[in-house]
Amino acid sequence: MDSTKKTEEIAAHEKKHLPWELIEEILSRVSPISLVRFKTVCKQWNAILDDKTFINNHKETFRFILKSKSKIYSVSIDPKIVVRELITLDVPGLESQKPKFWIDYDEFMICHTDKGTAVWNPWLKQISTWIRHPRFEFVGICYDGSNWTSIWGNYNVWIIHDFAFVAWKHVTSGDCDERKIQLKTMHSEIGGSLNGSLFWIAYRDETDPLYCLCRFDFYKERFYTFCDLPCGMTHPRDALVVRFFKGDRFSVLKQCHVTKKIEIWVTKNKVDVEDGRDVVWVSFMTFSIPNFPSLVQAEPYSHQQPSYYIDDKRLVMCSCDENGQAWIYVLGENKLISIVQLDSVVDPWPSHCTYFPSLVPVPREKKMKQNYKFNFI
Amino acid sequence: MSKKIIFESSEGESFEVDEAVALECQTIKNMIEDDCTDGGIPLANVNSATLTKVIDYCKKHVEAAAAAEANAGDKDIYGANKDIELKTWDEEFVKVDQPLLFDLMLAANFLIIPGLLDLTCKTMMRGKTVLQIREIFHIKKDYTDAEEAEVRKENAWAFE
Repeated sequence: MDSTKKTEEIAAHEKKHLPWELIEEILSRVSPISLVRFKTVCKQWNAILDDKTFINNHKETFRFILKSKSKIYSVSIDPKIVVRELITLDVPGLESQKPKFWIDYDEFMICHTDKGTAVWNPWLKQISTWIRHPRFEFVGICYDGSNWTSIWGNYNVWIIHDFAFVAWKHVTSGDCDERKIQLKTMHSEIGGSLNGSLFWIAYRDETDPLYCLCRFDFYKERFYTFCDLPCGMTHPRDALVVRFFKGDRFSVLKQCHVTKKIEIWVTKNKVDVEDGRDVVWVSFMTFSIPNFPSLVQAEPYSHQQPSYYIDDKRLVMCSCDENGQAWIYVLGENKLISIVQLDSVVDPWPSHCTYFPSLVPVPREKKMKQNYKFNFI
Repeated sequence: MSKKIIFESSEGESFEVDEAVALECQTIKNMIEDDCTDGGIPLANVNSATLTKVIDYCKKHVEAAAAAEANAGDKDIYGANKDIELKTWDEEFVKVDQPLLFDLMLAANFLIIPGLLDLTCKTMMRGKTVLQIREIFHIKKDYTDAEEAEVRKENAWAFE
């Protein structure tokens, strides 16, 4: 074969079969809904589209979601902080309502309004059916990879809702003292789910300064005190937030209102959801930055805890200042790397949460069994 | 008079452009900074038709940036109009056939022109079916029919 022809053939072959890095570059510019369709192109594409690193580096990815009176925004952090309006017109009912958010640890958001509660994938702009119970309040939701269950509380009575079968069921295991966990003992609505269990911060009683992680096991339908937190609250305006870390560990952020010092603890090992006795907390980051603002504001906004995530050696936080303006703080190596006011957020006091986009579609009811009691809105 | 840079396409054709236009390409910018652009820059994997388009794109964006800067002093509605104008221009610019669009994307990737890479990727992928994608990228379906149906079922809503 003559050499020119060979070179041409190689060139043609290269053009036909693009290097994988370039395919990734192209896919990172494709809209999320198209990406879902492209999972059927081939196995390699399916694999990359399931890869969290790919999704986290997508050009339209983001890290925080903010909800102000009239709009919902996404905030991306890298390579620079960008605030975008998330289109909400195609999510009926969301605009007129005032949703409070509750975050699952990374696939979905729970949209909680007066109208009811729904599972939302803000990246795919998909929302499930609204669920509402006349007497019970939504507490948390858990996804085990195939099925969705949520828990609802009314004082110390609890019921479980099965998404797939649109069914309500009372929590019956009465042999456990910890069933006495009451709604008011929960520190905040922010928690997370892991391997069929739901976790959130609670306190034992109002006089005990030590806080614990509370766990609800959806298989056994039981409450447990999972483990103590490495820190408690000494001031009502201390910040105290729990999040998952590296997918299978916990992290806790605490800011002391008096000193403004911020501490991050993480669990040393992978969390065994069945047994919290071996949990060891290690101090991961500490920031004592002069004149650093308080991350929790005074009444009536004191329920709003900061949102945060840990990215390699950085701590990235979102919180409102005393005037209700949202700010992003990026901290690392015991210093403030950057601080940016999100001035394009129009109304004061937006609620915010950390959210990493995902391509997992929201659950749908599998079948409608009329003999089950259910509520539709 | 501004400094000129000479590109040479894969067919050996020369294209003379202002340095400012060439600077739109990150790859060329690095070469200019390293002072190794004398005697022209051979672009063995970019043909003349593609290179003509690439230069058009860079010229337009340099002009638009200069105009935006000149208008920055007296900010008015024209600033916004210029953005729309450039966007419309971009949309017209990528109304080309699939092979040329593909070549433009490769050139943008090779020369590192982020705006053009963004534009060509998005245009190329927009509204494409799975079959069209396989054709464009010469991808052989490696799913069995049953496997493909399963993946499709899991994500059925996206095909509605």
